[in-house]
Amino acid sequence: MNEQYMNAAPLLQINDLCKRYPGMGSYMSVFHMNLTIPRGRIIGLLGPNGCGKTTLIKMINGLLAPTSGTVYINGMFPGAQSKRVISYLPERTYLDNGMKVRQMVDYFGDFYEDFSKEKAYSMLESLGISPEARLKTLSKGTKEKVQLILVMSRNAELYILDEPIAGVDPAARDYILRTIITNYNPNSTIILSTHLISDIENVLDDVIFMKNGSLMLYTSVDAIRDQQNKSVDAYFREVYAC
Amino acid sequence: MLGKLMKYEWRGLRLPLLIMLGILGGTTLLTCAIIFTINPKMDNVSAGFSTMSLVLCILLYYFGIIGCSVGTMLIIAIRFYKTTYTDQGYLTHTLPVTSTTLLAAKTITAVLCYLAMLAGIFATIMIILGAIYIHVSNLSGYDKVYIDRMVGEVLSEMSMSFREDYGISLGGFITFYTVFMIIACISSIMIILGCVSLGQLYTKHRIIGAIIAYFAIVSVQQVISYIAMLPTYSKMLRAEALSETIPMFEVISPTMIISLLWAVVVSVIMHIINLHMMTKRLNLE
Amino acid sequence: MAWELNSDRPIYAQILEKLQVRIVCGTYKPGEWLPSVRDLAAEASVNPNTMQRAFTELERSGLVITQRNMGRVVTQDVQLIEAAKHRMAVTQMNSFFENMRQLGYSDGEIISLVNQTANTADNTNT
Repeated sequence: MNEQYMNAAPLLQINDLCKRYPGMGSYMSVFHMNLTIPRGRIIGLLGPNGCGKTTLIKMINGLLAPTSGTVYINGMFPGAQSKRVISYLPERTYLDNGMKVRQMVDYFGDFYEDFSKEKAYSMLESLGISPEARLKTLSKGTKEKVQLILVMSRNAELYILDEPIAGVDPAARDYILRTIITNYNPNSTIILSTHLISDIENVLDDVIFMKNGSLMLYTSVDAIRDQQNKSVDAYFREVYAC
Repeated sequence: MLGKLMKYEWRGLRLPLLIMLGILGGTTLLTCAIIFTINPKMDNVSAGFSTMSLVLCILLYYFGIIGCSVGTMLIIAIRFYKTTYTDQGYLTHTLPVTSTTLLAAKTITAVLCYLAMLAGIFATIMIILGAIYIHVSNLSGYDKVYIDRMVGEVLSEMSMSFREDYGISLGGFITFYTVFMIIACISSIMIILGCVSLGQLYTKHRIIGAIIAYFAIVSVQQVISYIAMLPTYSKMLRAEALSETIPMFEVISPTMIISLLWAVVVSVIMHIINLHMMTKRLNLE
Repeated sequence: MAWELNSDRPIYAQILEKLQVRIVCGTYKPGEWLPSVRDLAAEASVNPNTMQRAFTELERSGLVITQRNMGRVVTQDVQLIEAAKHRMAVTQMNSFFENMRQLGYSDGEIISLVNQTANTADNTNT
C-alpha cells in the first residue's frame, strides 16, 4: 500500500491500560487492558452496558487521561497527531444546534484534511437531509445521521463508532452498515462498539468481548462460528449469561 | 489552525454581542435625542418633563452599559462551558489541534470580544459627551471657534495642573491607565474561564461549582486589593504627618502595580488550571 | 436487500455457496465480469474481507479467474462449471438421502417416492 505504512507501528496499541474515575473508590472501569489492533479490519467491541467500552474509547480518543498504562496510535500518544487520523462518533450528539448542516460540513472541511465534502453532500442527499436545515430543527435520529455522515466522510485510518446503530430505525441501520462496508479500505480499521450484535455480526471481521473492564476475548467471527458452531450473538449470550 | 479556531469562536459569539451592542447603540441615540430636546426657553412643565425623561434615559443607558459588560462575560462563560465541557466537547476535543492551541483560541477571542465591547461602550460615552458639547455650545449663542478655543485652554490648563498634582503627564497617565484596564480585562476573562473549569471538579453540579469558584476567587481578590491599598494609605498618612505634598501618582502607583501583578499572576494560574482541566482532568459525561 | 445467511456457520462458506450457485445457474455467465468485492459485500451486507475470502476460494477452484488489476471473470471452461454443478447436485442428493434414511425409508422406497413426486409435479405442470 502506502510507503509510510510499511514499517509503521501498529495502528492501535494498548498496554496495561487502567482507568479509575475520581470518586469511584478503587473500582477500575478499565482494568489492565492489552490490545493490538492492525489495519484493514472491521472490529466489533462488544460487551454489556457498563463494561468499560466507552471509557476505553474515550482514552483512545484522548478525551480521558488513563490512570496507568499507555495508548499508542501509529506509535504515538493521543494528541493532535492522532486526532488527525481518528474519526470518532461518540454516543452523544455534539453538533452545535445554532448551526446549519452546511456550516457543520464546512467546519469539518476546515479542520480535517481527510474530509470529503462531496462525499458528505452525496450521503446527505441519499438520506434526504437538506444542507440548509438548522440542526435545532432536526430530530434526534436525524442529528445522529448527520453526525455519522460527517464522521464517515473522512478518509481516516481509524474509525471509532460508539453505538452507531442503537437509536436508529432499521432502514437507517442498513444504510449505516452499507456505508461502513463501502467505505472499507485496507489501510483503515473500523471499531464498532455495540450491544446489538446480531444486527452487525455479518459485517465484522473480529470481535472483542469486554467484561468488567477487562478483555475477555479477541478473535475472528469465523473462528467463533467454526469452533463453537454458533453465531457470535448466541455465543455472546452464553458467555455473558447471568 | 489557531486562526480557524478563532474564526469559529467569533462566529459563535458574535450574534449575542452584536445584539447587545445594537441595544446599547439604541439607548445612546435615544439619550442623545433627549439631550437635544432640552432647552432653557421651555416652560416649567415641559422642562420638568424633559429633565425626567433625560434622567430615565441615562438610567436606562447606565443599565445598558452594565448589561453589556456583564452580558459579554456571561456569554463568553456559557460558550466556553458548552463547547468545552458538555456534549459539544466531544467535537471540540477531538479536533486535530493541541489543547494549548484550543485554549489559546478561546482565550484570545474572548479577550478580544470583551475589549471590543468595552471599546464600544467607551464610544457610546464619547458620543453622548459629544452630543452634550454640541448642544450646549449651540444653546450658549457664542461663536463656535471661541468655545473651541476656550475648551482647549481649559484642557491644557488641566493637563498642566495634572502634571503638578499627579507627577505624571495626562497622556502618560491615560496610557498607563489604559494598559492597566486592558490587563484587568484579560485577567477578569481568565478568571471567568478558569472558574468554569474549576466547576468541573464538583461533578455533581458543574455550574454551581463554577459559581462557587467564582465567588471564592472574587473574595480572594478583595483581600488582595485591601492589601494593595496598604502602601497608599501608609504614604498618605506619612505625608499628612510630615505635612508634605507628594504627587498623587506616586501615592497610588504601588497599589496599581500590586493590582497589576495580581492580575498577571491570577491570569497565569487560571491558564494553567484551564489547561490541566482540559487535558488531565477532562471527564465529559 | 441483504443476503439470507445462517448464523451458525462461517459466513464466507455460505457466501461461497451462493456465489457458486450464481455461476452454475448462469446468473454470472462464463467469461462475464464479476462485480467488485466491495459492491458485492455491500449487496450482501457482509464484511469485504469475508467476501474476499470467498472469492479466493472460488479462484482456487478455478471457477473464477483474476485478471491482473482489472477484476475477476467467470471461467470460460464450461466443463469446469458443469463439474461444479454436478458436485453441488451430488452434495444435495447425499444430504437428501441422509435425511430420508433418518426418517426410516429404504433406498428403494426413497426412489419410488422421488418418481411419484416427479410425476405429480409433471401433472400439475401440464
